[in-house]
Amino acid sequence: MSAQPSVNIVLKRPDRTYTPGAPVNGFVIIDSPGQQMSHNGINLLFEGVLTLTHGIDAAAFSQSEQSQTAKIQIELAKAGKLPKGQTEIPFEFPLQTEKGVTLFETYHGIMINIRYSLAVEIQRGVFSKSLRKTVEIIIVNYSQEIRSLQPLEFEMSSDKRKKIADKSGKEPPTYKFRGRIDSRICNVVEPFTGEIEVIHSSLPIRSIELQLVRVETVVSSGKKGETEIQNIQIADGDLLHGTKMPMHMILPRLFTCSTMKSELFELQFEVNVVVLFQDQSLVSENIPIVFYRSKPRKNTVWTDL
Amino acid sequence: MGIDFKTQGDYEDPESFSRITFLSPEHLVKYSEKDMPSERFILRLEKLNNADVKEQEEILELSFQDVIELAEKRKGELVEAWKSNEKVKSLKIVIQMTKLLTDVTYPYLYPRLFALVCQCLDIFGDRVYERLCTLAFRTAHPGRFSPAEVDSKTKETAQNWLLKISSIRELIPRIFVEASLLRVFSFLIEKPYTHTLKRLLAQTNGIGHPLISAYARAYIAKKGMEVTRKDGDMYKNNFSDFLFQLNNAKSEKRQAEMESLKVEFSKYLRVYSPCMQMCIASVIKSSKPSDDIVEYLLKEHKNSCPDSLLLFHLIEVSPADLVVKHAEEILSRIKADAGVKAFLEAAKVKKGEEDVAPQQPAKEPTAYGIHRLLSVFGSKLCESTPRDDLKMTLLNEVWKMATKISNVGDYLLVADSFIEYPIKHCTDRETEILLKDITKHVSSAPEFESTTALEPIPLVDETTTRDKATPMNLLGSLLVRCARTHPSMGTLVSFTLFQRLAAYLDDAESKELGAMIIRSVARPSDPPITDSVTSHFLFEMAKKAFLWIDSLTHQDEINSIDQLLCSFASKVNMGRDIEQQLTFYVDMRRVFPKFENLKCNLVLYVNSLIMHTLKMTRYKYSKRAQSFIKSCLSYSHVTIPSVVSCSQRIRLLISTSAAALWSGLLGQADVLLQLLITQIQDMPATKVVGNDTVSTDEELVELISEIISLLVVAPGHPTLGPFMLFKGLITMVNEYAWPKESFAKGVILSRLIAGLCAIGQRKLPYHIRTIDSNDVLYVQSEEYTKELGELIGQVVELTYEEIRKLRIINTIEAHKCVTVVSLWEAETLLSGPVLTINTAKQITKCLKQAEKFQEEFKTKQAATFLAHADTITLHLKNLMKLVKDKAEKPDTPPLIKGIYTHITKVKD
Repeated sequence: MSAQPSVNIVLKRPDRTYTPGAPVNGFVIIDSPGQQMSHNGINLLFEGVLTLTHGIDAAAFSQSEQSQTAKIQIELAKAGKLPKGQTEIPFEFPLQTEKGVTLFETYHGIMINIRYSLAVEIQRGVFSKSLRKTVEIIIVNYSQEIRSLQPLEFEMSSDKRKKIADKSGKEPPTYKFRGRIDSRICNVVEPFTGEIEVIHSSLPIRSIELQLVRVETVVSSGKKGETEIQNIQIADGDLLHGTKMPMHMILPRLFTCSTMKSELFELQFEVNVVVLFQDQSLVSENIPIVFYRSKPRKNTVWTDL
Repeated sequence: MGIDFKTQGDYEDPESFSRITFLSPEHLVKYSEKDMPSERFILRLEKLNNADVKEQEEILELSFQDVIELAEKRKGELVEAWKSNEKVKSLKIVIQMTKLLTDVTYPYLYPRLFALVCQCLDIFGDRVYERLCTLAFRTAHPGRFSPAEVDSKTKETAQNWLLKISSIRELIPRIFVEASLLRVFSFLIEKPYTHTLKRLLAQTNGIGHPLISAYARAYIAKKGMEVTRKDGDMYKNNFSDFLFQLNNAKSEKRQAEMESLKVEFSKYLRVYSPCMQMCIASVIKSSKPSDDIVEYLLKEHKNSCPDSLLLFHLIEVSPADLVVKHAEEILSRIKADAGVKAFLEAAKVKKGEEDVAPQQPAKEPTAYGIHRLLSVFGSKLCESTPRDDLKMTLLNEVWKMATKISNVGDYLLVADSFIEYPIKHCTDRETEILLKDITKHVSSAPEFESTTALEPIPLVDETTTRDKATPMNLLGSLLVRCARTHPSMGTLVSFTLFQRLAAYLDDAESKELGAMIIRSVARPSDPPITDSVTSHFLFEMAKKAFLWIDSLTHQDEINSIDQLLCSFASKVNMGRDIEQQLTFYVDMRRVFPKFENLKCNLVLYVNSLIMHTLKMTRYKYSKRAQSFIKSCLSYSHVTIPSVVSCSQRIRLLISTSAAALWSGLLGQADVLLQLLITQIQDMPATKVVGNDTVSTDEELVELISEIISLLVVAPGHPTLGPFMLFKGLITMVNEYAWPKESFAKGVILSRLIAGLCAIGQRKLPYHIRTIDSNDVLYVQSEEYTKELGELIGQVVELTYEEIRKLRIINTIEAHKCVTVVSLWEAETLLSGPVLTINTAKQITKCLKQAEKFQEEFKTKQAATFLAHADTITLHLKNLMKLVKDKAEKPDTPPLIKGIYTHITKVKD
């Protein structure tokens, strides 16, 4: 228990998620144990930062560009005194930006990073350090159009490859998997679903996996990076012919967002269905996916708006 | 925030399901070996070729022990981590534990491992759920609720949990953890379970190894059944998928794998049993009552998986009446089962009925052999009643197959399950036939040959604890079942076959069987036991069952067994075969000396046997009867002194003496009566009743009154005079150490007067038919009457002395005693034959005395005194009435009338 004064921000929405234009409500809670605190002003600063990195190697990261996409400053209190103990100062402000500025969705990526933060600062004169606290705000954009499902069927089969006999003269392996994605256009808050069936496989299977990949492009340098976000296993061990299993992957919150295209960067996503065999060989099917975010219906998972 | 518990959602009442113990650790232990089999496993296939056999054993034992210990340790760590709020760490531990389940190199021990891991998962799931409940409702057990009642912060937390676990990469941990956190969905979505369960069950298709996927299915099904009972279709689909994957379990490849691991394949298949049980149970429980679920299961059996594993559990888990409904079909399936067919073929070859090549082991290994199938079928048939026309057919068909089972342990397993069937559904004849067949098998079995076999001989397969029962246990259990179910124990026991079978049992089993049988026989509804063979057999049973009682056994237990044996002994009634019956009683006494109650009752039974004999001979003298009765009397004579309680002894002696008198054996009667009188001095002054110690004088009064009534008819002694016994009694009463303030002696003395008066009459008020009492012997001769008068006078003196003694003691109690004695005295004298002025005066005095104390008692306000006053008043009233009646009688002599008026005047 420090006897130091501290400050904290508590937002009304526990998931700290807002759409552009939405009001941000909350309290600034200042704890001044021991004695009164005198200060020179309490300010709130809402800030959005876009970070672009040209490449995914270490060298590129030392040269990343940062630009500010939004800024809102609010003065909560002028210079004055705060009583001993806890003080709560409520605040509310709309997430309005200047005209022409689009607020992109919060996204934590490798080459592209879009982050928004809300910071409170209490200035305490020239000689004392000011008290600060920052929380991350998550911005989401709802798509206005209604997207329809676009199911996709795919097949992974050894017929497609040329039948080249092995050096030892063994028969080349044969396999056939048939799958279906429920929709190529996905709502990012709902799980990615589909089904896959093992028609036959001469090689014993070790594992079937879904790999979620991000494709980031920085327009200015033209650099493009394809990296894995997560890998979910959907089958483990050798399967009987005729086995059907569902594909079900919940999309991670901060690492995926709607597919975006702007003058500064492009953000796209793909899913790879990968079949690993016992002898370490693999086949995979690449499926580009479009993510969007639809306005939630009432009584769904997300909090009220 | 008000919490309004709505009845929404498909959160059904799971209570009745919790009674199903499939997948509980106790249940699963049944399916895993406690010890490693004799042929040890190997950890990796390569090691088989390299290491020394001993080295292998060490490696194995170490590694599996390690795994179990690790699992236990992790469980502890999980609880600790959660307590210190390290949620991330808890999740990590749980994930690590589920990864243990991917190791299938020890199939036998898998169930045990699975039980441990599931415990961990359940702990974790419960903790998370409770934590969320506490966040939302401030209590860990809010009952039913809907997502609308949950605040957004809790929803956010729940959402975080679900997102976290859905990002687990590996399939197997993810499935298990999601299943354990199933209830978290109820915070977010209405009717959350169906969709999620469907998905989870479908995802288990992705698990390649059939053992892991089977257990994963079982776990999800169990979790699902805890929260929702609808969606029969979902469980049916799950079941079909399970059967599909089971093919993988039986494939050639798997057989090869098991052979390399040196695991017997049929035993391996049995490891899938809990999963099969769970899946079938989920299908049955989630089906509507109107659906005939057994029909569906049978169809599946035919189409997808004609395996004994499925058939066995189908019979085991389904409700009894449905099984019975489809009994014919099920029986034909059993016959058609591959394993059964192979067995029957082999049996034929043994008998030489067919010219087939020497038997080969069944090509397709089967999980459950014929004996297990028939046994489980039998227990279901016994629970419910089949159609009347089918009853016999079923029994015949089953037994045709069962009788071919040569291994006696397996055979007895079937017999044990089926023995209740003919008892409940058929007649005794069928039961006898069945017992005959059983006897045939048992008598030819080497295990039953030596009766001193101490080592339990193991059965062929030992996967379950049931099988660990030895043939001896099974035979015992079989006979006990008979004893319990058969409505008439006497009939059952009279079957010679039953007796023969019982003879095969060893000590431990006999004990249990004996106890059961005796209990059933002693039931009041059971018929009496009438033949000596049966009674002898039962006696042997009783011996085996109860001879272990010794000084260390608790008294209550001894008492209850005592009661049991008494009821048993009372059932034995051999009609005319009285000698056998006496032998029976003698044997009982000899073998069970510690049981007091039994001893007393035996004496009474023997006495009633005497009366019975007399009745049979119609009270005419018969030499044989006489000698028999003499032996009975000597039995009693010998037994009675060994009875501990004096009052019991006295009672028994009264009964025996009466019997002796009735049989006309005067010499014996005399001896007994003398013994009886001498017993009085042994009577203790106090006895313990419940928690109090009470004085025995009241009881003694009753007993002596009974003796007096008996002595009235006892004939006098040829040399010692007609009143020898009376004299003896008087002396005894006089010399006994009566308590100070007791009216007992006084009352007894007054009764003695009454008795003596009675004996002086011309004709005794009652007689014993067979003997001549004093009225006939002495016919009121002068000498007789004179001696009697003297004796009466003596007793009267003693009475007055007693009253005087009591008067000296000047307490209320003593006064009461005086009053009581006086009243009795008065009554006796009034009713007496001789009424002189003297006696009249005495009577008057007594009555006056009584009145005086009555007044005294009435003035004292205390309840006890009022009670005394009341009794005395009542007695007085009666006497007054008596006096009045006598006065009003027309034919009393005037002197007496005068006395009466005098008394009444005094009263007024």
